[in-house]
Amino acid sequence: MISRLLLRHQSVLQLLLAIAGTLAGLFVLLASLQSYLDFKNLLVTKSDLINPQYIIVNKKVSMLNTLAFSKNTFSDEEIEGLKKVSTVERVGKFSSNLFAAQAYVDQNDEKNIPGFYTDLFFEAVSDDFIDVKSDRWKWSPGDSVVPLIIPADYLNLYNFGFAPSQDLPQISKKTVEAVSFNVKIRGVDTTVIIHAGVAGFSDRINSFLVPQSFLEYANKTFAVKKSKGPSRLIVVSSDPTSSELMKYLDANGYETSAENLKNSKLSLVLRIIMNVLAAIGGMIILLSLLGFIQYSQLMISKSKYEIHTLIQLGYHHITIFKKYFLFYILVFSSILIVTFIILSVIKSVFVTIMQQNGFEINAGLSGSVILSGIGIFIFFIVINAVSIYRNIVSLAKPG
Amino acid sequence: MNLHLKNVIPVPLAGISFNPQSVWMNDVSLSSGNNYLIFAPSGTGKSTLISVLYGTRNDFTGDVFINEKNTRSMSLKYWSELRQQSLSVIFQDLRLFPQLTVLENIELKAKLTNVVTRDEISAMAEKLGIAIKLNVPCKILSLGQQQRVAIIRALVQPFKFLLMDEPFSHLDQKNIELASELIDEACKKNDAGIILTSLGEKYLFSYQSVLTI
Repeated sequence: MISRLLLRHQSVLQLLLAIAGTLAGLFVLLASLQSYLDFKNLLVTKSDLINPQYIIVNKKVSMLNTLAFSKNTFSDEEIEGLKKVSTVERVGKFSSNLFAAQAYVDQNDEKNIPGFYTDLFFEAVSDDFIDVKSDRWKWSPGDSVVPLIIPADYLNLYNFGFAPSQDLPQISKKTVEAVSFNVKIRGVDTTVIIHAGVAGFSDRINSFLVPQSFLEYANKTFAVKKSKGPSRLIVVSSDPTSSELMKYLDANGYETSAENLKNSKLSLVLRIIMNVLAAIGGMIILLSLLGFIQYSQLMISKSKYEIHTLIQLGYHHITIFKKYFLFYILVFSSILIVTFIILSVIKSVFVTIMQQNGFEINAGLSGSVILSGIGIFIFFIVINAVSIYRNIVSLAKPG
Repeated sequence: MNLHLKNVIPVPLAGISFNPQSVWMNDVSLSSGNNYLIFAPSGTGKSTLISVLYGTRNDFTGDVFINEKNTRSMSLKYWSELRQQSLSVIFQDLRLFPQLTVLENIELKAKLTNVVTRDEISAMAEKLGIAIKLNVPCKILSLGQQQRVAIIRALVQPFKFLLMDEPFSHLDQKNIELASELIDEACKKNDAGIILTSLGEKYLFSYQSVLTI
C-alpha cells in the first residue's frame, strides 16, 4: 500500500528516456570492452590462448658489448627493475655452463646415426618456465643420463631445410628422443664423459636446456671461470603487448624476439579506439545517471504530501527510503540484464561470422565485462540511494 | 508522559505580547492522564502549538521537552517511535490519502502497531456512521465523513496524549457526541490525556486544566 502511494507519481516518458540513455551508455561501454578483449586475444595469442605470455629478453648486442665496455649480463638491480613493470608477473634467470663441453657420437656405440663432434653450451632455467612436460626431465647426482631440451626450430631446420637439400632422411621427434650421445666435460684438471639424451623440444625457449640440478652440480664441480650473471631472462607477463613493458624494454636497450610484440603497435591503436569508445559510453552513462537523479528528485517532490503524511503518521523514514531504493534496484537490474542479453546475442552472431572467416573467438561474455556491468550497477545504485536518502530526510525533518 | 514548554514562542509570533497565562513565553507542563483545553483566537498559533508538540515544526525559540528530552535533539527514528506509541494527532487539515479507501487510510496507521483489530475498526466506523463507506475512496466522502475517518485513524494506535486541532469543525451535534464518546473510551483504555485547541467551543470533554494563548 505504501509503495502504491509513493510510486504513483511516475512520468513514464521521462523514466523511459533515462532508461534508454542508461541502456545505450552501458551497451557502448561494455561492447567496446568486450570487443577490445576479443581482438586482443586474436592479435596476441595464436595457437595457445593460455595467459600469461612468456618472452625472452636479452640486451642489445652492440660494438660496445663486443669490446666489453658494457656488460651484456643482467644485474640484480636490472632484474628487480623489470619486475616492477606492472604487467610483469615473474622473471626467470638463465644460468649457463662455466666449463667447456663437447658433444659427440662414437660410431662404435651408435650405428644408426652419423658420427658428429661439436662444441656445446648449456643453459638452465627454473622448471616452471619450461613448456616441455616429460618424465625424463629430471636429474640428481648419480644419474647416468642427463636429459636435454633442444629448440623445436632446430629439428625443423634440419627436416625442412637441411635434409631435403642434402638428400638425407627426415627424422621424427621420437627418433631424436631415442638417441643418446656423449658429452665430454672439461674442468680445470678433470675430464668427464657423460651420457645425454633429448627429453623434449621447446617452442618457447631457443636454447640447449639441462635440468637446473645438473647445471648447479656441474658448475660447482667443473667451473673454470666465474659466473657473470644471466645474459638472458625469461619474463612472464600478463600482457606482453602493454606499452609500459615495450617502453621499458626500449628505454633500457633490451631486446626480445617474441612474436607477440610485433602486434603491439596494432594492439596500441586498437586500444586507443576502444578507449575512446569506452569514454563515450562512460559519458552517456554519467549523463543518464544525472537524468535518473533528477527523475528520482522529481518523483519525491511530487510525492511530498505522501512522504510528509506517512512520516507524521509515525512511519520511519528508512521504511520510505527502502521503497524507492527497491524500485531503483528493480529498474537498474532490468537495464543490466537487458544489456547483457543484447551483448550476448550480438556476440554470438559475431563469433559465427568470425568463425566463418577462420578466426577463433571465445564464446560468451568475458568475466571482466560482466564484472564491469555489475560495478556500474552498484555505482548507479549507490549514487541514487544517497540522493534519494537526502531528499527524504530533508522532507522528514521538522520544518 | 510529560510535555514541557519552556519560554516557547513561534518565530512568526515573535514581538507580540501575550497575557501572563498564555502557553507562549511561559513555563507550561502537561501530564498524560489529564485533559487540557487550549482556547485561542484565530491567528494566535493554535495549530502551531499542535505542530510544535508533534515535532513537525522547528521554527520557534525556547525549548520543548518530551519526557525531559529536548525535542531539538530527537532523531527522526525517535520521533517515529513517539508517533507510533505515545503521541496521536487529529490534524485540522485531516491529512488523509484521497485515493485510498477509508479502510486503507485507517489500516495504514493501524498496521504500524497492530493493537486494534479489523473488527474493532469496523465497530468504530459503525458507531460514527461511516461503516458503509469503508471500501470507498476517501476523496468522494464529504468533509464531515472525512473528519470522522481522521478521528478513527487517530485512535487505532497506543497513545498517552491525543492532540486535537479543531477536531469537530465539520460535525453536527449528534456526531460530536458520538465522536467524543469514542475518544473518551480510547483515552481510558490507553490511560491517556487529550490536548484540544479550540476557538471557543468546549465540547463534551471534562478538563483538568484550561489554558489560553
